[in-house]
Amino acid sequence: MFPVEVQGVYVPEQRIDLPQGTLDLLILRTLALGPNHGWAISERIHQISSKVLQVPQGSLYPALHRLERRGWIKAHWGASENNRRAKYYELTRSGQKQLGREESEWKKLAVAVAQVLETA
Amino acid sequence: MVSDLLIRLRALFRRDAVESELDDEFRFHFDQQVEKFVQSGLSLAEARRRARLEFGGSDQIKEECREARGVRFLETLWQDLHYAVRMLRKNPGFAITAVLILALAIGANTTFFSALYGLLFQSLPFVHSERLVSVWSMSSSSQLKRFPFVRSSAPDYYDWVKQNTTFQELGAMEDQGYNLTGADEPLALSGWAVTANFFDVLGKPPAMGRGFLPGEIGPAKADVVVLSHSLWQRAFGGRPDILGRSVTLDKRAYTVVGVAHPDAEFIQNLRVEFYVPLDPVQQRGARSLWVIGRLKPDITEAQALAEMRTIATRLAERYPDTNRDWSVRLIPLREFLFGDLQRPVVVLYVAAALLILIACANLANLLMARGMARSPEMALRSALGAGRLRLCRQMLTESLLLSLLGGALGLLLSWWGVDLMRGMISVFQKSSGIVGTAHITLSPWALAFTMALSFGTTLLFGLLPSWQASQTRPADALRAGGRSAGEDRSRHRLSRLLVVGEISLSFVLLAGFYLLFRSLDHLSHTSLGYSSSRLLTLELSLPSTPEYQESRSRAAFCHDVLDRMQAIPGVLSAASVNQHPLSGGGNNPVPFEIAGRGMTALGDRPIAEARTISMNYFQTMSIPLLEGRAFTRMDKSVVIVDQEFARRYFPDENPLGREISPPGGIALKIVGVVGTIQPPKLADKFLSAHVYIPIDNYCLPEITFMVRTTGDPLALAAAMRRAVWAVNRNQPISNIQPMQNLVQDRLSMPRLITIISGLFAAAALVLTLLGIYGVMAYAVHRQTREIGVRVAFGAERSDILRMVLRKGMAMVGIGSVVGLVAALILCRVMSSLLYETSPADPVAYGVVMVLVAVTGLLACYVPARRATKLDPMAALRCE
Repeated sequence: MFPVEVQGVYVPEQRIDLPQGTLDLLILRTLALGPNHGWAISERIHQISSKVLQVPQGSLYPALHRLERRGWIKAHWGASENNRRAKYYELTRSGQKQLGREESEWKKLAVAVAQVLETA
Repeated sequence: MVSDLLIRLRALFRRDAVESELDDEFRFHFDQQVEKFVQSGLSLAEARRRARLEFGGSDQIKEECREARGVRFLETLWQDLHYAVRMLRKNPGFAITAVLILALAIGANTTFFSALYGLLFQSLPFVHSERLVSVWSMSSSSQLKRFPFVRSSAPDYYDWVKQNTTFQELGAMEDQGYNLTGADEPLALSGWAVTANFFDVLGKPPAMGRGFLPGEIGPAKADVVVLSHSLWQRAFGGRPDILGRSVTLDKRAYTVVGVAHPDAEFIQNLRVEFYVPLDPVQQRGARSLWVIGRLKPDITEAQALAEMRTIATRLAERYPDTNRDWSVRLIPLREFLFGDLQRPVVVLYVAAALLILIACANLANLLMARGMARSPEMALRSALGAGRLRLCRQMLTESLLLSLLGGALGLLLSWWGVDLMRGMISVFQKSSGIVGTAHITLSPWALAFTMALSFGTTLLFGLLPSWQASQTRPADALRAGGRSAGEDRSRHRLSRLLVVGEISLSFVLLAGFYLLFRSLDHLSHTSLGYSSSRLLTLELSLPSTPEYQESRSRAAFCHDVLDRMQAIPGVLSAASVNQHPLSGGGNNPVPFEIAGRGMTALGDRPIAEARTISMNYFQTMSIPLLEGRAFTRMDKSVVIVDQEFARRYFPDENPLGREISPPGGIALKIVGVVGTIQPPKLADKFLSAHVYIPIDNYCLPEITFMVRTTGDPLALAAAMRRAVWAVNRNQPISNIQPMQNLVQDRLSMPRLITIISGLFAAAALVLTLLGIYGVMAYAVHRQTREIGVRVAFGAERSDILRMVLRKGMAMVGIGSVVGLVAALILCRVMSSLLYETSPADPVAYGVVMVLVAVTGLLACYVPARRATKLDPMAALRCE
């Protein structure tokens, strides 16, 4: 949404809005790689998606709290890399299972949509 | 799932910790972002700015997180409650008024409904008490048809038992009085002689021991007795070895075979202290038995009545001498016991219901006014982003809080009110002689109903303004003025309508109270026929011992005692009679034959109450002698009749010198006519005729000494007792009290009803006053601009005053007219409670109309004055 100056050049960053369910999936997947705090999760998603997906705080934190309530992730406070106090989230066992479920559903959905786009 | 719950709980109870954690989390994110920007080459200040922009509105994010936590509802509820409490604290006047109105309405209504429910529906403490009926004889002959409840004779009773198929059990009782001696002090007891199945009819077997065996009833009646529970406690200390002991009744030894259950004590209008086997007089014409029965499970009262009537007809044919024109009447026991109470309680309940309607109307107006006053606030909130639901929930919470407070207070009032009702009913019972209390308890249905009604009103009228506020666009509402003209007018119309309703209901309540008040006034000033002040009564009953077997010895006893009493200083005069005018003994009419009128059947003979009196009875009682002369010592075979007797049976001739004879008795000459006395029960609209017989002629064993004193009658009570005991040391005295107390007791029930209805009427008037004031104040406020215009165009203060008053009095006028019509209809229901007062008394309605008009004027006065004081410039400027 804001052009970022990179070495004098403004590169417009486009933001694609993710549906809520998908965001949950991405967060869970990110945490599958290891526990992390909110900022790091958002950064990682941004990096891994080749800077296409930018998760704003307004979506991230409500999602995190929601997932925490559902019991798929759990939180604890700890020290960050630069020794600041941060809230770390990690995947729970039921979270693992949920991740598996959502992944397979997403794959099915993607295949189905691709098929429709090809033939239509 | 568990984690869900835990998180929710934590969010609820450790809110501060959770909030600060959220803060920390965001701050961390922000710091990381700043660092990222700094590392990509921006300055610190620029990085901060960028990060802040990216972050967006953190408050909104926090809000969403809070929602995600899932306790939003409870949190907002808590917030609403907090706010509601604060709002109410800021407007204590409104809050207190609303709560009081609610509490009063709930309390009054619940109390009276509970009382009514208890009286009408709750069972007596007997098994299947709805099947208990009392059976009465009823005559259609001209003499007796005015007596609704006449006792039955033993042969009739036995025939009923033999011939009926509808009753499971039919039992009979007869009044019996004995003197108990041998205990701490001699006691005069009253009780019943009963049939063997008596306790089976009740379904309440004796608490200890047994009832009577069939073999013990009748001519071979055994000397056994069942004591009442209270007598066992009172005279025998509740000793556990009472069974088998011997007690002396009327100088005869009786064996105690049982103690009755305490619940068996309140059946009819007499104290029942013991039960002995029944051995009735076997004469078909001697009607002395009370009969109660228990219907068979599938039989209705109508079926039983039909069969009993048939049996009665059969008996009438077989025994025309005694049973011609006689039939049977059944009445459920509960109705018989408490029927007299039902009408007053119904009337009071209607009054309470009217009061609750008035209260609800007032409450509604109050809430609407408050809602309108707050509509700018509502608009502001709506503009700030509150959803319609949120606004409504806010108002709902406030209304609910009010309702809960009012409800709690109302519950308290109900508790207290039901206690009061119980007291009121036992006052009634005391004056009519019923023992024990009706089972009145706080009826949960009544409470639920009235609470629902009041809560409903509060919620509805509390919600209405917020609903309408949420529908208007905030901009409109926030503009000066605050509301659209249209809905405002309709709301005002609704308010006016409610107030007109209030006025008419108050009218009804006031009219009812006034009528009751006048009735009470008539009652307390009605002439008794004798003078009741400074009069002491002393009741006793001479036992059926050989000592007092003969009338002559009983008369001698009376003379002895009277002589001693006359000698006591402070005594003006003393006399004796068998039953004083206000005794609870009831009517025992005796048929007389008038000589020279030919033989008449028993049913057609003139009847009168028979009284055996000492010589100076009329003088002591201040009963006027109208014709002829009083008794003298020399008199034999004479009677004195009262004016009612003369009027009824000697309408066109002089009764003096004529002879009358009681059944099986000798002819007695009428030598005088005295004034008539009032019947004991206020409900009796008929006067009884009396025939007075000197004790030297015949003296009944029941004796009441009437003593006219110079000073306080009770001061001489001890002396009176000593006078009796000087003649017979073992003679128990059943009752000593001043006549004035009995007269006052008679009035206690009407007085109580009048007071309560007065309280209702006063409350209604106050509420109406407030209601009218509220509406008029608002009307003036609405018309501020119009008034300003008028004054600017030259209207005088008096014109404005007249304009406002006319509006207000128009409401009062309409309300009064509607109220008048309603009162005329409703007060007819009360007519059985009124004594010598017509429910359509024009004076009553005139007074009430004036009262309502004055109230209206008072209520309109302040707003009207305020209207005249309006500064036209300010009025025109304001909106």
